[in-house]
Amino acid sequence: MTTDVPRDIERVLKTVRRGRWWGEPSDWAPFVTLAAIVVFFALTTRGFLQPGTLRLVLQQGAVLAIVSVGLTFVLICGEIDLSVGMVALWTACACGVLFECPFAAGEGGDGPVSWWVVAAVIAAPLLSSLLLGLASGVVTVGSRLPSFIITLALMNIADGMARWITNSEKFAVPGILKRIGNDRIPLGGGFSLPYSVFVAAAVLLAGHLTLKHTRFGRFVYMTGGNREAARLAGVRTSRIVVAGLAICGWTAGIGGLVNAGRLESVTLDQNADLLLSAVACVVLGGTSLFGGEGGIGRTLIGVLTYSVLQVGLNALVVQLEWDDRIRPFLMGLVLLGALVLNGILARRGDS
Amino acid sequence: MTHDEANVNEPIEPGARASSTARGAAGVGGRHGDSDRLPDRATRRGFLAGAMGASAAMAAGCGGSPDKAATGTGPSDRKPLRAAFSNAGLQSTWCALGKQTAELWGGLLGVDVQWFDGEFDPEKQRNKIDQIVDQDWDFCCFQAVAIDALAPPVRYLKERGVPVISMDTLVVPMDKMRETGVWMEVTPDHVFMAESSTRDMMRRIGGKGRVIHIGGLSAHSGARDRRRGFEQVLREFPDVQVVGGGVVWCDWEKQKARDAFESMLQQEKEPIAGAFFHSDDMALACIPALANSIHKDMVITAVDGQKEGLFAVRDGTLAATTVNPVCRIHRTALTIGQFIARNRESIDEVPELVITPGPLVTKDTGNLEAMLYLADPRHGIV
Amino acid sequence: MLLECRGISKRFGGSAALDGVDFELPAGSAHGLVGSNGAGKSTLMRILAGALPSFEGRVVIDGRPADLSSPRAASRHGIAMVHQELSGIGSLSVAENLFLGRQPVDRFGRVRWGLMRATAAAYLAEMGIDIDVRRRLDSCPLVLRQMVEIARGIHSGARILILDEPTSALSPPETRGLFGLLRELRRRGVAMVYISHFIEDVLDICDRVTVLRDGRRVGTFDAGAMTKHSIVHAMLGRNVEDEEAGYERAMELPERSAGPTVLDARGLTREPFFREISLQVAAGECVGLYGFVGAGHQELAHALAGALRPRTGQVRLEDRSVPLGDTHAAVRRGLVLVAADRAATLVRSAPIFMNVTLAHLRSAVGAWITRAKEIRAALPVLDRVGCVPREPTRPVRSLSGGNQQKVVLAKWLLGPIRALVMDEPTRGMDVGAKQEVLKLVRELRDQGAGVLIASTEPELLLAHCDRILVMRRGTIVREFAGESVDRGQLLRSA
Repeated sequence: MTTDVPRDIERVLKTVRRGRWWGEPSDWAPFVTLAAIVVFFALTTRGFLQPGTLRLVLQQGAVLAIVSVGLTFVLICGEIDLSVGMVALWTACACGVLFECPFAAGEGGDGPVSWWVVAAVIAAPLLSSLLLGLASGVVTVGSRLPSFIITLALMNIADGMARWITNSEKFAVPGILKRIGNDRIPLGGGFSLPYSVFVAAAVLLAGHLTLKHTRFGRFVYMTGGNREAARLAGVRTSRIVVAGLAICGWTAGIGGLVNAGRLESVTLDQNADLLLSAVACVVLGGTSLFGGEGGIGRTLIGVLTYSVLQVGLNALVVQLEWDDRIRPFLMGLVLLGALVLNGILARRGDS
Repeated sequence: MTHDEANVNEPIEPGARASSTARGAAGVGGRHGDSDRLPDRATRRGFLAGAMGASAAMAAGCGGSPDKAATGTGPSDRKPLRAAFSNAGLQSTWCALGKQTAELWGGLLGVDVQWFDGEFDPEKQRNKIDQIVDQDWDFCCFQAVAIDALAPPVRYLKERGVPVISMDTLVVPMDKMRETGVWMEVTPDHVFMAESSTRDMMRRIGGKGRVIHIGGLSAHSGARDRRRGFEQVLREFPDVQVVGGGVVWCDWEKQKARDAFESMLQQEKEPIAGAFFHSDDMALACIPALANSIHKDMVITAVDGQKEGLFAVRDGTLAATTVNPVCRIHRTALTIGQFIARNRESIDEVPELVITPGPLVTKDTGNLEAMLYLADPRHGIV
Repeated sequence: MLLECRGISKRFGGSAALDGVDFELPAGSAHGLVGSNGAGKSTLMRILAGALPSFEGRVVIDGRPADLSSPRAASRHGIAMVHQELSGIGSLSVAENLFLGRQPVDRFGRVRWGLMRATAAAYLAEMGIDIDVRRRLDSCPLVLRQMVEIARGIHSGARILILDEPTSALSPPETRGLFGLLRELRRRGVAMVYISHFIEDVLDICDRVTVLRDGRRVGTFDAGAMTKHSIVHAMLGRNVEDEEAGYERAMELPERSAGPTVLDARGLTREPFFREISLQVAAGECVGLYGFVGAGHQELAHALAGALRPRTGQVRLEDRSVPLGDTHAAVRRGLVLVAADRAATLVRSAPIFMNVTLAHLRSAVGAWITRAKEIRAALPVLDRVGCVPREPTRPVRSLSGGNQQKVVLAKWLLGPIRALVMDEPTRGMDVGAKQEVLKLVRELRDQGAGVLIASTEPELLLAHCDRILVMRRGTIVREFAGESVDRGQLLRSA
């Protein structure tokens, strides 16, 4: 045991800090993948390296990023939430239906409407998405069934509820959501970004701070790393899982509303792909499907990778005048490549 | 309102349809046709070549717009135009046929057609269109996967002065078309198509008995319009009841339609007189279930009138189908867009709505052979 | 010579885990391998088992160079390993685990369940165990799981059997049963490498002993020529005061403590493990809970700390009732558990410091968590328990078993400890680490905590407890307090 404890601790901290920013190879594997993809498109696609591309990447990744934040919580917990896409859909539909109610903007969404009504038609669906997540959490923990099954059921429930309240019609959404989805904030030099990007940034930041700097965040990691150990240490793991799923439902709701704003309307065919793309983003970032590892920073890299892929492939297909139907094939191919590259780099880091 | 190209084969009374009808989301979306039905060999080959080129480390310069080589460029004295096209999703044979038509006629008219697949996903379609609004286009033709979802990029195209024509599904509601920047809507008449086929079925069953009504996807206004057309005719025949009380939505899926159809056949003790399907594909998938049942004399009618359906009418398995004129819609949009661009026509000169009619086809209407020729992907006329 | 190793070296990162070690094993022999934690025993055995394909040096089996590139390759050479960390599949039955990957099948490929169960029961009976082999493995106590692990290794048809701490969870009768079996195997020509911290066991079963220290071979000795003392000396390179010498003679237990009761359990029942258990632990008292494998004392320890919920009964801590089966409430109040199975008490993929701060994040670190604050909080307690290496950012899984247990203790040291419940706390630890852990436990007791140690090791309890309760088949059958007791008495009473 050391006698001069304080100085000794500072010495250890110094070593730790020096080691930190270098990190493990598995930490920077997703960066390498992202960089490789950017370089690839920069070399193959004319006019890829320009501010407009960055805007597209961020704009197309915004909804995905918001939803992925919640999903990151759930995956780190060692659970999964299959209902994100349909909860997002339900939230948007609920918002649209409420907005077209007689007491709000009326049919078509063109009527005069006061700010507090708008606030209510946005807040109520968001609350419902939180409650849906909470419900799947409570049932998962209470029934001791895998969240895979419970959220699969919830996915169908949310889908059915959305079909039921919309009666398959199209609904308008409040103007503020449209502005969030489409209006841009100029950032100087002719470069501008939509509000949705800033919403996504806020959600990402909040998620990151929660995971890395609060007790709840730490409990999420530990619950996913070894649930029994966390329980024996006095962590109420059931509550952590419930909270994780509730957060996931909530971010799915936010994502659904932002997406509806971007598309300026709500119809039942929105968000069909959201679940799988969000899972792909989180995993691309290097968050484990088995819990205990990952983080929002990684998820951000995953979203950027996915989004760059999407934008880059669109541009490439146009430039080469290929048949557009080839795009999903290429997307799958490159996605596979990126995941394998990630895996190889991460494993090299471990040994 | 304008009807384009009154065709001798088409028993249509002009103005059969009220334009006030609010029409919404993808009229034909969701039909997942199998790729075997991509009818044109050249196209399939071109697609495969593209795919192989891509997998071979994306070697540059291969692929290419498949039909251009086959059809040659347009008249050499005119400058070639560039047009962006997108429809609901090329998984559906209807949409795939539209693409072939636009590319075929684009070659003939000197228009370089660039295609963006909607993939039946509003976000994906929006992402693709967002990405290309900055490029130079002479005009654009879109079938939106979801109404309103393409509004922001279309407004941007309006600012840049690029004419936008919507096909089938509206990009924005009719009253907002011009302010958003949509010059014209080219659409089939789903209500009329359903009415034609239903009326033919009613005539054949003698206006009484029980009938089945299999629908497409409830979310799509095209399917909802077809349902309305059916129900309007149904009201005229009080002696006809619908099995199950109303439409059974099967999401354009053949398997779902077959399952629902079979369970209805099973439940009924008396022979069912007829059945109306929202698509030929679903009808053709269900017809084999009739063999060896008490319902084998059932009269089946449907909507779509493309190759398979027409063959089925010729073979007598399908009593009637009404043509949903995919080629004509895409060709009309292309042709008009080309005129707008070349003649520098202003937005006030062109009509807001063009309804492209489709005829009823049965063994008795006498237009079967003609339709097989006109709807052939090599001709792409109806 | 059946197995020969020449100049085996293995480096992890910058440090050498093994440095030019030679080792040979004739057929039918038993070779002991001893050393402190981190001396390189496990590394050497993992190399032989094919789990570490990249190493320097040469391994020759039957005079031919051996391929040890994978566990499968190693098993083709007839090498089987019984791991210290349990590796059975919890969701399968005991019988299925015994026959994992080699179930008896008939000519149609159907599993012969009857034969399998009968053989499994016979295998376990050889070791003196009588249980229903259809039970799920994870419903069995740790000791039984260990027995199953051993039985599987023994009956896999191996020519070279590597046993890593096989007796650490076993009580003397079971150990005797195991040794009888091992001797029988030796007669049949099976060679074995026996790794253990129980030097007496090593000297009992082995004919030669190799001592490792810091990745090098200190020497290979004839077991007959060595005493426990001389081996410990070779292991540590220094003389240690040998507490364990006292184990063999009778211990004088002090009078029952007059201090206030800290932990008070009444009428705890959880079938089939224990029923109607009532016990008290006073402040500053260390109570031992002795029993053979399956006596229920280990489950009782878990139940007292809230890790297992009894059906009925009451647990009170300092006169306030603690909700049953609620670890959160227990930890907050200072009723904490140190369990045998470190895989269940530590998040092994997480860094050391996160494991240390996990239980008392708010009080130790505060509402806003930063890595620097956490390390500042964790380092003093890590130093107090003597955890090495003291790089707090390393994952816990990189630590040896003894150091992992120190991390568990460090975790509790950050908060209040009113009652410390331990279940086989020193399982699989070397002499040095064991002494350090137990010294800490004594300190805590002297500061007024109540300590309860459940164990199947009489020596441990005799050396460290003030009072010993003996459990048999789920009930307390005897209490030793204020009297003289020795190992034999304890064994006979259980």
